Amino acid sequence: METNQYMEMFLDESREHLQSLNDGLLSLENDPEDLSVLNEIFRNAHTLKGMSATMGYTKTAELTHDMENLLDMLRKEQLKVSSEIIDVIFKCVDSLQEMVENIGNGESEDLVDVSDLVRMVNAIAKGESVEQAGAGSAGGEAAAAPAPAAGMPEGCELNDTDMLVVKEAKNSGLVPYWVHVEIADTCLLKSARSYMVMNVLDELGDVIKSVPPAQDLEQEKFEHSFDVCLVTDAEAKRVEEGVTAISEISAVKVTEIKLDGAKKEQAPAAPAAAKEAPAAKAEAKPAAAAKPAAKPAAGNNAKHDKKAHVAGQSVRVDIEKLDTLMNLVGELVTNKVRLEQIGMTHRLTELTETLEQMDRVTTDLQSVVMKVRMVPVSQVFNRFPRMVRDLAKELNKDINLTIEGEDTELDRTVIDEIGDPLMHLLRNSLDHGVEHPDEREAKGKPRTGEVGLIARHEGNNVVIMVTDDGSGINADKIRNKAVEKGMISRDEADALPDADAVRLIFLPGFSTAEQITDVSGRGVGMDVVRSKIESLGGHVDVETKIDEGSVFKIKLPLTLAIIQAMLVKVQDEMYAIPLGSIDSTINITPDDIKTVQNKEVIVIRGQIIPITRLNEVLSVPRGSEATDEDDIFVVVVHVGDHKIGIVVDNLIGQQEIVIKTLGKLLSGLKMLAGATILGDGHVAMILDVSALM
Amino acid sequence: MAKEDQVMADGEVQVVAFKLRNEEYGFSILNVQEIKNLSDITRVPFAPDFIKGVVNLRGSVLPVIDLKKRLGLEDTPYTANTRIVIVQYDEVYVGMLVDAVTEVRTINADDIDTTRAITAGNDASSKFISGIGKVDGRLIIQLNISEIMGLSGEE
Repeated sequence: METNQYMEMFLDESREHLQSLNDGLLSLENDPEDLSVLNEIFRNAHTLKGMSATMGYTKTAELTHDMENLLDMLRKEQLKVSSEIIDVIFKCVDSLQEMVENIGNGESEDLVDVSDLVRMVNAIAKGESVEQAGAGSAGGEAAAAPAPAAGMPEGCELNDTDMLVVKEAKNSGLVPYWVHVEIADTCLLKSARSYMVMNVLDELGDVIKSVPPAQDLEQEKFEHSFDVCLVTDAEAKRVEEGVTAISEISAVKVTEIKLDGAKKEQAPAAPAAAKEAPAAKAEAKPAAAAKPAAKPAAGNNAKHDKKAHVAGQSVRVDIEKLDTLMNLVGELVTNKVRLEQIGMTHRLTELTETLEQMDRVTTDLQSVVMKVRMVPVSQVFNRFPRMVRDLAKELNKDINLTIEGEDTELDRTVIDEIGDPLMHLLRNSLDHGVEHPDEREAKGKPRTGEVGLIARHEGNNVVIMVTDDGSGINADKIRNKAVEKGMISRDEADALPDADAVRLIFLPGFSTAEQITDVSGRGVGMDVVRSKIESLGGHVDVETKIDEGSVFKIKLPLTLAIIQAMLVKVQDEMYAIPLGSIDSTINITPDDIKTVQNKEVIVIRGQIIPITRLNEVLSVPRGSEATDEDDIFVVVVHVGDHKIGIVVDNLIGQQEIVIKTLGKLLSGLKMLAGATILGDGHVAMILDVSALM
Repeated sequence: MAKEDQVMADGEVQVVAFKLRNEEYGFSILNVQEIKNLSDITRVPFAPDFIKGVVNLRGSVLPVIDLKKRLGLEDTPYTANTRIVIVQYDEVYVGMLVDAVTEVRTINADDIDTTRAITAGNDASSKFISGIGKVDGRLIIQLNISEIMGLSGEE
């Protein structure tokens, strides 16, 4: 089968399903009673199985299949959700992930050894169910299903119409049975077997309905068991024998449906045949609520509830195509501005009017294209709950991870990059921040540590915070360490305020962990985080309080491709300063400039700010216009807590600019963050503010 | 525009010939992407001195090399004939500022002198020259694009 063209789709979707499996398992662990989550997990596993089988990855399919069996038992409450079982399923998911990645790398799925895992899964499936059955049956050696609270046989789903039919049959002396049929695992043609079962039952009496509907049975859209509602004058025993006679049927359970008002009692089931039949607390679902159970006659309308969850329609697009689209839109805008200028010079009102119309369209177009590139941070966040859980177990700590604002959107390129830094910060919080439960108790804190991952908009930025309520960072420890490592002198260290001392952790080669653990503290941590964030045009800072916890705050630009900038003029040259780093712009006279140790400074609201003259720094050639020496414009910018005033000749205004790279030939130039093309087609340089410091 | 459809016959080289001051130079036509009229060049601070600046080439930023400066020739003011020849080498696009583009010439490979002897006296710029072609009594100096772009290290 030619599957190459589906490969990408398969990989993408598998990853998605594995992710939802992870998510589902996590929430299941928190709330083991939540059946809807379990169903969701089951559906994911099922889809995964189907996909891998279609693609011919039998090992993946087999493992998923075993896992699905286990999930099915959980779903039917034949097994109780326990953390051991969840651990095993997590392991399955991990192995599956590995397999899928191997497939993605063009390797064989066989590289992952899952035989132990499969054995374990099967053992749990068998072992636990026996135990459960033993506990569940009232004296009987085998699985006589315990009388369910609401009185319906296991899995019995009858809607009102079905009930009417059953009642009528009963009145005419027939007995309604609920027949549960299990087909052997090894069976290859399940649909054929189910067809034979239906035939036998049809001979014995009337089949009122089946779960799943007949249509699904024919198309093999069922697992290893199905249920049939039958009205017949035959005895239960005969029905059972008739069905058991068919080969590859592993178990049959026939239960009489009794209709005593709302209460129906359990008919004695056939214990012999049901020795393998899993006993379960039957769950009286409101008829037709969980599954849109259709009668066989109305089989065409029958839909699996799986299909009810239709996600929003979407297509996957290569990010490069989006970049091209973005470039084209940019060009369109540039050309439009040219046309506008032509319209102005030649006073063509008609053209100007048309262009105004076009302006609206291009603005919309631009914002749509930008939005397309935006992805919710949940894409990165959703892999953390799992990591935190595993790590907490490993460290023997109780951790509760709270995630907020996961639908905050960021540019695709940023999203791709922030995963590792965030992971690092979280690991740090777990390892160094949150204390061991006993220690916490001694401090009078709850045993469970709180770790938060919060994203939110803040102006033109997105702020992501990693918080913990752990021990906080001891500024003195940091000072000592820094002195010890020769990063600063003792005097310097002592002079540093606490907040600044804590920031030393962002310096290269700093590790505060007393002992190096597997988790974090290899000394390459925080400075890597900082440089990564700063390379994204962002900024990271920390706030901490001893015994109250720490907050790591990452500030990121919404997008790397388009930023808001202030355009300034220096002589004849135009420069763009990213608005994100601008504090304020002020207008001063030469008298306002003072000198401190021969360096020019200005005083704004009591704060002394050094200034730098852009024309000197960039050696801008003298322009044609004489500049007004008495009127000086200063743009105050900041990087972290450092501020600096940039002296320019004129402020042009604020504008959205598209960042373009300067290319290979001009890479690595200091003080320039790139270039942009202005509305009139001219190129302007974008200043890298941090290099001016 | 690049004329990629002009397949060269064996032993012949097609060059885009242009003028710098009163000498004639040439790039292999296979490297020439297009020829553009002079537009405003934005100075790039801290760039190497032979880079005149950048221009907007339909939405992307294109560096422009001042070829006269690169070859150690004396500067002349822009004229109506000044052009930017956009060349491509190893996926990198660069504009070359020239005084005038003259024509596309086919030069017989035998008429190209690749000995360095001619330029031996001028070491600094000799590496930029890959050979000298003779056509109709004119000399067209063939330029080595990768050296001029500074992509082969050292710069």
